[in-house]
Amino acid sequence: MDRTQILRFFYFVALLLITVRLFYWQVIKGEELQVMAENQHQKTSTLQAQRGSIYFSDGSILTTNKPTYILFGMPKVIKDPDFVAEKLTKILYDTPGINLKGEELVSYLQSTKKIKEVLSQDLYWVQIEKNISLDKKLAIEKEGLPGIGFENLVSRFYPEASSGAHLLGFVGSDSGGRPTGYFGVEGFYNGELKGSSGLITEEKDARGLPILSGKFFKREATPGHDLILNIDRTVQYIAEKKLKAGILKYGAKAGSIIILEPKTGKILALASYPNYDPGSFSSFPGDLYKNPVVADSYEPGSTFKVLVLAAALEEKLVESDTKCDICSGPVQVSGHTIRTWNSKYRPEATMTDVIVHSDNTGMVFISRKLGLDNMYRYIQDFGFGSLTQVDLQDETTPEIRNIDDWREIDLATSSFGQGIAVTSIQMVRAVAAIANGGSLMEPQIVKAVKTKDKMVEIKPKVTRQILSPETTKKVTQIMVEAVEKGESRVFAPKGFKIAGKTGTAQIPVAGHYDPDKTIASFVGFAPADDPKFVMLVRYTEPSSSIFGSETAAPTFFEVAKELFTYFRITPTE
Amino acid sequence: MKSYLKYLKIIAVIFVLVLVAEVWMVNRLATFGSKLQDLKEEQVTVSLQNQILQNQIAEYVSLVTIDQRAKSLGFDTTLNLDYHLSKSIASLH
Repeated sequence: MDRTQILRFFYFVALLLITVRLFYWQVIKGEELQVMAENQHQKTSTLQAQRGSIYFSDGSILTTNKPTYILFGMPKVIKDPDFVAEKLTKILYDTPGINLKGEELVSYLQSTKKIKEVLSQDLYWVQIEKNISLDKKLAIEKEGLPGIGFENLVSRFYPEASSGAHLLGFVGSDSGGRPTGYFGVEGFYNGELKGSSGLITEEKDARGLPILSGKFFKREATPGHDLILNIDRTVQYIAEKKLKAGILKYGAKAGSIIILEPKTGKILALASYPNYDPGSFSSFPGDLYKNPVVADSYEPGSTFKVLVLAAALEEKLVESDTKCDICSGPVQVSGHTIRTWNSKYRPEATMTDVIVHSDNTGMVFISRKLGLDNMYRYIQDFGFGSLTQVDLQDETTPEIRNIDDWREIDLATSSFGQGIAVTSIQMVRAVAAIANGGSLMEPQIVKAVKTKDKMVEIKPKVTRQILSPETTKKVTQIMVEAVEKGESRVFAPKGFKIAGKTGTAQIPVAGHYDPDKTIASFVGFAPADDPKFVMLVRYTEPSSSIFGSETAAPTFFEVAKELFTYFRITPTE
Repeated sequence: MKSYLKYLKIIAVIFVLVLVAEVWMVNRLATFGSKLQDLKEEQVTVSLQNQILQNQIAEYVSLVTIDQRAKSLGFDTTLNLDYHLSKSIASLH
């Protein structure tokens, strides 16, 4: 073989090796390298979806979004933390940084020191401050500080401050850090409100700027749907104002007001106290988040009497003028003595008198007429022991014991609302059935869901018909007399026909009832002939007086007076 | 033959010019990214400022604010209302 041939051979081998190598990199590894290259010059960002807003029934804002940011720093990039800390302090805390004296100077120095300490940590990323406004962000960006950046934060804005905190709930983060609603409307309608994130993938150059002629893919974020509530802004404001004033005046530990439109089940106002600020919910104890109106149970006391009487009237077991033949004194039931609240007895008390004077012995008479089967059935028919299906996340219901576990004493005590537990929303819904001619309505917070293209209205829903209109007329008339002639008559506004009933239920503590601790309540509706609203006011452990007639009833009438003006309801007498 | 060659030269020049123009346009588009980025950021900022202004309006017209302002201007809640039937008002005149 001569040298030319040997050279040719080596050239051929070299060419073959290059071809094999090229084949390896371009064909076998081609896809992998393409992916690596795309990752280098393609950037994918998430487009965060705008969370839906929540409006009052008149279209004014209850909660919406506000742009805020997390200010972060990268300590390993920042060469002069002192300089950066001073610049940030001036912008974040609106101080000029010079000519400061006294407390202002101390505060400025403390803030600067705090930021400097954060920026001096041996970390790649540190959070400096949260909830930075857009103006401050722009001002900081203008300084062009190296190693300083911002991340978007989902923040809610509440123009009415903490109004409606319990019915709203709040927006926190789930385990994946995504904004999520908890409790109330934010929790129940989280799926509607959150929307869905979008995606944008584009080719970027070495400076991170988009290349217009490069690859581009975008999936738009779908903003969350807006909610229009049945809550009336003015009614809510009135309820909250009067409740807060009442809590202070009567020295109560807690209280709530719920106002419903009886014919539709629309909730016009829902206020509870103590409440919290949903904008800074983490600063409040967690046990405040629960909405007491839908999640706390209590023994309703005498307010329950109107429902038991309604059941007996519906079954035609009694009439308004039926006389009680066991009301001349205390009644013995299975070794227990049932007394009236004031130890006053009326031997010939009619059913009207029993309600007007809140006579427990008269209620035992009615419960015996009804019998256990009827009583139990009507308790269930009125919706007790089951969820009302109100559109709030945290609703619970106390259980009603199995009918086989009821004894004679339970039948007796439940007739005047002791030994049975209910929630406020169950109670007001049941009384609303008396106000509207006998239909048990599903309570509703949300009126409509507003999407980009349309408005989906949520129609009122009748759960079932419990009473006849004739029965409800009779019970209404009795409840009107209870207001006009009962213990709370001095507080009732003149000229208006209001149907109502007071309730004072002792609180069970360690197996017995504490005589000094009560749930004081008043439930009623007005105007009695054509009710525009039904309302329940409830105080827990009022200290000025234990009675509903002296605490919850006055608050009810104060709210009612304002509602008469607001709804332009004129007196009929 | 000479005119044929002349046309060929003209076509070749036009072809080169078009090629250069295409390269120049693509290059311009490629570097337009920075202007596009600025416009995107400005759009986002304006939209956020709009949201902030809407929120400010909502705060000014909130009942909490109106109540406070009304009190500071001397308005108070009406405690007692007198209701008159229309015929009794007519009888006053």
